[in-house]
Amino acid sequence: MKTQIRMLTILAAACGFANAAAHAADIDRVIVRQQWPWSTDIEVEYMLSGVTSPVNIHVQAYNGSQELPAEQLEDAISGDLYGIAHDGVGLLTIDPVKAFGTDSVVLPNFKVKLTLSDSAANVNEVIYKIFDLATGDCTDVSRADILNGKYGAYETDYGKIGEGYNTTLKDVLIWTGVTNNIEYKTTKLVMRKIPANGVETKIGGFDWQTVGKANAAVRTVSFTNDYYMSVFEFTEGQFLTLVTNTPNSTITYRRTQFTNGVERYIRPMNIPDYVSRSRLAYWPTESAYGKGPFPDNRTSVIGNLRAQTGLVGFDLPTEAVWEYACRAGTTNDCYSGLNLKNINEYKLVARCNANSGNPTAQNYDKPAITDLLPSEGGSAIVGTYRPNAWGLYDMLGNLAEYCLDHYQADVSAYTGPDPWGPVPDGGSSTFRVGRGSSYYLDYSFGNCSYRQNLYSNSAASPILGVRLCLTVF
Amino acid sequence: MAKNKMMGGSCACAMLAAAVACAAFGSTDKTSDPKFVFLNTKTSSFWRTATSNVVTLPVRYPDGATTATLTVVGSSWSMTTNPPAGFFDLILPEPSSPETEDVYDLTLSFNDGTVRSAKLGLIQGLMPDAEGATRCVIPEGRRNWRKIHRHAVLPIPYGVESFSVTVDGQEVASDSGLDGAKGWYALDGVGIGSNASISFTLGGVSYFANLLSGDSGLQLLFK
Repeated sequence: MKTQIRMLTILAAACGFANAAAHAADIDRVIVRQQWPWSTDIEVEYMLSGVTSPVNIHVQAYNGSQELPAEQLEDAISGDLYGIAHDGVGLLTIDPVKAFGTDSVVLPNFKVKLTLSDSAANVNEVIYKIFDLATGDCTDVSRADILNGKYGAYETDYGKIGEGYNTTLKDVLIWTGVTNNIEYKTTKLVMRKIPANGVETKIGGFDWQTVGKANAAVRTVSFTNDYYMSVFEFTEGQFLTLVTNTPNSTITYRRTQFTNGVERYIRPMNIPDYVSRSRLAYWPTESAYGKGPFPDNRTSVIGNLRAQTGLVGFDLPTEAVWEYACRAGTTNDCYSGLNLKNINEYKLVARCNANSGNPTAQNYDKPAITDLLPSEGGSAIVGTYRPNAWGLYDMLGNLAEYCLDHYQADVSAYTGPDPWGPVPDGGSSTFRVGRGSSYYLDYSFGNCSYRQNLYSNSAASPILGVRLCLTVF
Repeated sequence: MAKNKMMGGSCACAMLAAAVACAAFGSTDKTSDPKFVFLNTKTSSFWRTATSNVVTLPVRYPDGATTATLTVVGSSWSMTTNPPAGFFDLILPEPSSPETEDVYDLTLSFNDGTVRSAKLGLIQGLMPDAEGATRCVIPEGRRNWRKIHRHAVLPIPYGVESFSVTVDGQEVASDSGLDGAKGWYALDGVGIGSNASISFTLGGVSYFANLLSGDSGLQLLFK
């Protein structure tokens, strides 16, 4: 799991002797304790002094003179391991049962050896933001926080997410533990940083339904700002938390539509009831994406979110922003880095008609919704499937994601920096772009460049949702 | 490992060699003292001894558990609480005399079915002027000990693998088959004027202690 980061550290050291010896830090003492029987956890305390630049702690564990294999220890240790930037006491926790794979022995002579090395330059970079939707407060989460296990499980090797999965992204770090805490799907909003400032990339053209057509023209786009994308589609629980806690919100709660409403609060909110059908005209973005002005508008989800957090950078993603985030360093049909080959492979990353109980499914296995568990049919609970290399879940399948751009069939003109589709007058246009396909459609539509023309003023549809974006101006 | 896969073998070896050289030149390391570590979570029932009436208990929730109940039962005092995850300061009745010393049954149960239990012996506390020393007590009169009906109690640190006890030059107890702590050892017939000693092995290291008589009981000095 942590091999790549460790390798990065080694590589950084290999780049120059001066860098390797740059830190003057020292470990004064190392104490190991275990507070049995209340916990089998082994606590390792150390005292660090002389820190002038962030350092990493490399841990080796021994039983007597026998060193434990590093891979056994890696998944069992957490605490102050990476990016330690100050003097003082550090604390590590080792789960010995996990490390040794047994709970039936004792270690009569357990000890650890801690070694210092320089941290990678980006170890304290903020890569996640956690917004409390009830208060608007934001918690910044750095790479070091994730690597130190402060927020639970993570992965640094995208190839371990699925067989053959690959990406060209450097420094992969996926917070997989975000799927295990219901708060992140109901009362808090977790967003992942997408480093895009100055990036030039190609989008489109991979849609096998429309390849070669203007609808999916391959085009070069660039971005002038980094941005954050929410790791999950916006849920009904998040919507409810936001609109009931934002002062002077004018949105009243209405139950969203579900094919299967079990555990509705952790399923993606479908937007027509709340945003488009009666509120499209009030979506405060028609002239505002990165450009302002930003009116204080509390009649829409985005307006409430801006008011609650004080951040005007919240908005729907543009198509270009969405697709760049979806691809996560890949150029294939699917963000896994694999081309769509068969339904079984696709079902590992997305909810489509073949695994949603949709009675319209054809050609593939098509379980009736009555054959599925109550939590399985219809749209999926967010975070059910495998993420892309930026740790974004359900970018394909589940609900189609509403984009800022109004739909236009020929997108070949939308190139260059920060492209944004046509803006209708007065916000009265009825069509916007949907991305990512949905649980209602065949898996062949669930690719990174597939575009839907969504009639936003139509009757409420249970297949259309949103994923929020925060631009860093 | 994507980055690793992108490197050629010879390149990787060269960089790794350089890294090793750098690490040897620039790294700082430190090794801890050896520690006896328990992994046997299901069958062991070790004792702990406490020398203060405030005992900090780590409360680690198993995956899936959302509530915990801690029950503490002693001979004359008991309590139940719902500790949150983290650390819980268990405040036991402060002993007012050696006779109030007690052994407590602690049970920590979680709503996922996990149950952890232990026995906790509270003794009067570290002697303020003798770090590393703790005091054993000699119950007076006919005090009815709930757990131990003996005259003196030796706290045996958990992790002890073997021990022997000598009173007035004669070995009165020994056990070489311990695979962990036994908590306390009840010592019969030791009073003011007796000389007792205990030796034990912990983590492969041998320890020796003398039990010194005094007006307020016996003081155990670890060496």
